[in-house]
Amino acid sequence: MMILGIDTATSTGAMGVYHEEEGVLGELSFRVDRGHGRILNPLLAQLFSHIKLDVKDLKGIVVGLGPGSFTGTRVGITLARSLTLALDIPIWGLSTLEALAINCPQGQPILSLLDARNERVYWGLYSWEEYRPIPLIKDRAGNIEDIGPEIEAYCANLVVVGEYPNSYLKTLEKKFPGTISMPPVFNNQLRGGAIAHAGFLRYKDNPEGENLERIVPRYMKKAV
Amino acid sequence: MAGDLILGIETSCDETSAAVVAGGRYVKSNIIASQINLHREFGGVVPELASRKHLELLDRVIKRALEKAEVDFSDLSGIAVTYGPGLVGSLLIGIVAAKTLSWALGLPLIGVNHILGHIYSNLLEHPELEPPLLCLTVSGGHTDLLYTEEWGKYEILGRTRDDAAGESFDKVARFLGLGYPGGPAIERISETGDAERFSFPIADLGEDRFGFSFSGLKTAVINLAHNLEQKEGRVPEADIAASFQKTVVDILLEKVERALNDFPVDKVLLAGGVAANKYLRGRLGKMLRERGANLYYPSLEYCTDNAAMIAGAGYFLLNQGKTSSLDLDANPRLQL
Repeated sequence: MMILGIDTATSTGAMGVYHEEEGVLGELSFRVDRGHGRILNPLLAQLFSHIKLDVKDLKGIVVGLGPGSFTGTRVGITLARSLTLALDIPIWGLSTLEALAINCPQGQPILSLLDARNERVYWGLYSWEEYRPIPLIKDRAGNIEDIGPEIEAYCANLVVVGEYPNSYLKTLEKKFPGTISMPPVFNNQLRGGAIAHAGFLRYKDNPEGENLERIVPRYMKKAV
Repeated sequence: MAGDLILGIETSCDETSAAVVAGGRYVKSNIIASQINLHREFGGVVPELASRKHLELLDRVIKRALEKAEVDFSDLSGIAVTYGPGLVGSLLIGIVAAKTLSWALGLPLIGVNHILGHIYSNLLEHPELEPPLLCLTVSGGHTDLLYTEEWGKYEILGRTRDDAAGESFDKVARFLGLGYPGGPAIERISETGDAERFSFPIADLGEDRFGFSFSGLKTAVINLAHNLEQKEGRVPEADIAASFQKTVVDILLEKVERALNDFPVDKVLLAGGVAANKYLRGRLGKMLRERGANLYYPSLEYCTDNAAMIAGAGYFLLNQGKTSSLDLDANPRLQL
């Protein structure tokens, strides 16, 4: 039983394969600022070829829906939806902020944070329960300065995870002095194996998968 | 109905399309989901909106194309996809879908130039067509005059140095407030206008005997409309549109006639969205008849962007061994 996980909404692209008995068979995390459309397919094909997997053995796909880079998110979702079409297997969506929160399984409340440029951020608050992050405050877009009142109840022991400029952290530390901690730096980026495992948990909960209409980017911003 | 089955995918602008074509000539299905109503209120295609819509529609459109053709993925010989020119965000949706399908199904991937697709659209309705021939491709993005001696090979005689013919229709239509898309709007109002009332300058391109230029014409039209509005307080839209359309067609016809003198063929193909213009078809057809040549053009379904023409062109490329690798990328400014 194998599940593919993929999330390319942030400047770190991630893909991985989780096997029910053998754990993570392979994962890739790679820096990608532009050119998602060109490199994603060759990287995925190489990953499968190196770990000697046939794509036809996949039993499901989980894909990051953002928020994040519009093009990056679209490319990842297009790839995932096309794979379900080709292989006729179930698909599940995953918030990219949740995918980051997976990297902080210490039991503290998790503020998952992504830079949306010009002091804007995407953020969500998660708690760690039964091997997975559960949303406490729904993902949203806003100004870094405006994060505050809603999370005060949780901020006594807050861990902040994600990709964002150092200045944002300083803003948060000023608001919540002495209460914020960070994961090891390498956990601030998406991990393919962790995402694939999240897909495996979804498979256990809902083996039929989600309706394709739900597998669309969470832009959090109008097109026009 | 013989030959290999190719799945074509086209998402270069605002039509999400998938098609199954046999042997490069016989259309088994051609599904087109147009976004035209979505973009109309903005007076043109909004790239971000187009990309969003392609993602939502494409897998369903592919499924419909297979169902309508009554084939499965396992019956296919290859997957052809437009990789340019077009809007980069829109192109990427089709390209990533095609790459993923090709990898997962173990089928050859064929990247197709959208303009080449327009040329092959003629074969879908005239499967008996054989070169040598001339082809005039006129659309919102291109104005190309080609000579083809055998399928798969072509010589570019001339192209536009500024605006494409269809682009000038869109810009003039927008300026005159005639709506979007501009081509059909200009054609409609021109029927009630006097095409001889105004004459516009035609650029002399010197050595570039088969080249085109429409930017100066567009500026001349806009200047005229400005002047008339100031002098007379109103703009005679129908007469201006008709005179403008006549001038565009004069320019196109002059270059085709010139090409026929150098390449005396008896077949001329018209392709691209502007091939839907009946006034152009009428005048070009008449000129060719007088010279003993035939005009071929696709029906409306194949004039606009569609995946059948991509599958058609893809078949010939596949037979020449021109396949693509998984790092195929969008090329928004791809030329022939």
